[in-house]
Amino acid sequence: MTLRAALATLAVLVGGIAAFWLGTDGFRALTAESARRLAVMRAPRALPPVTLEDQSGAVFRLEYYRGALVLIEFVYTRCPDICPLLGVSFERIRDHARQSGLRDRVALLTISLDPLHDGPAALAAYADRFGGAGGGWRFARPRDAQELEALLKAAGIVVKPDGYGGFVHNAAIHLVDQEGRLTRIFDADAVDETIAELERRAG
Amino acid sequence: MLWTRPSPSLSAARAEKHPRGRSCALVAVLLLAVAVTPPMARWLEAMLVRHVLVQIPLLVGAGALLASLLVPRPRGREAAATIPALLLALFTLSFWMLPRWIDAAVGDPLVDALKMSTLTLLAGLPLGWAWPRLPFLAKAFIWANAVSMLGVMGWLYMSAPNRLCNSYLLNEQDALGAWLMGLAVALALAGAGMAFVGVNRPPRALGSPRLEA
Repeated sequence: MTLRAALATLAVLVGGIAAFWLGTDGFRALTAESARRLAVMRAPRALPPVTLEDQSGAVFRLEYYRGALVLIEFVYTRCPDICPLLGVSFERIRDHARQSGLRDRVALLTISLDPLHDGPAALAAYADRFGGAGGGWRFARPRDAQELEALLKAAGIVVKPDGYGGFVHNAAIHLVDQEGRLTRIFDADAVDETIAELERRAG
Repeated sequence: MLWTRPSPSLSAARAEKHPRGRSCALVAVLLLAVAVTPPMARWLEAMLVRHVLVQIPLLVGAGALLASLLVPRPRGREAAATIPALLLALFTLSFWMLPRWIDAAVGDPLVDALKMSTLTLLAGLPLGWAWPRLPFLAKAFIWANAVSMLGVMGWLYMSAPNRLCNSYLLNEQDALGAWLMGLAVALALAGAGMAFVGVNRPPRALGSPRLEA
């Protein structure tokens, strides 16, 4: 092997490993989902203004939650699999919050990513599957398609039609801090981890 | 097949200049056009299997064909000199196999352009340049490694319980896994066929171009 080939090999090795290191956040994020979670944890992201309409038809804005910790889930009410699972996690967190010091300090917000179908009635019916709205939990749809798109983009949610009239989307528990920034993202079933983080932040 | 050589006279004629340079260039441009023209690219990238097993091979293939055109055919034993080229191709290919960057390429036109150019120039080109310079054993080594790498990747994609790409469905991921496994089996069978059923050349043509030139 000539010196030239050896040097070139070394250069390619260094460059290749550097590209992989940078491209995977130090080999920690091999998927877009883990990259999103890592990025949010490192640099909390401001969410854009969104006007929402809840299960009772009341209109409010996402910014009204400033000052409180908010857990957000993105779902659509016809979702057969991951959304109900996420809903059960939210129900458990709400029930825990009701009996603990977290009451009044944590709000839960379910946002529909299918606002055309999920009107107040559909949202109310969906809420009933998890013990109904209340206890700081609202079910809402964005009023404006462009605002929804901006919100999904900011949060890093990718929604794709599944070919059967439904959607495929990355589902997770999103924690928004008192300044309105998306700051942590947990697995859909990570109830204990989420509660621990809430208690830590609520002090 | 890939590591059998053409007859010595033909090979000697090709030592200086690629005789089918023009048609190679034409095919390369055609492959590139199919892979990168926006409507075609969108269609290819709409499904995971088409993205990974059609578009990416088209880009790499185009680069490899261009290599046979841009650089003169090999004259001597230069196997060691191909190591950086092969590594470069390996790094580039594996980088674009990362679910995160497959997703990014679908979501961001700039990343997609980077994917297309690097796969052509940093994977296809070095592969096409290195392959004719490799001795038989090195080709066999790479072939065998390709079989196991495709098999492992296929297994990973098939057995991953979660969606790895936000842009693709879980069943597409399973399908890609199955196709990769199938490809591994096909490569293994083709390799075995060449090794045992006499498609390979006698030892004289062990792949050192100098023997023939």
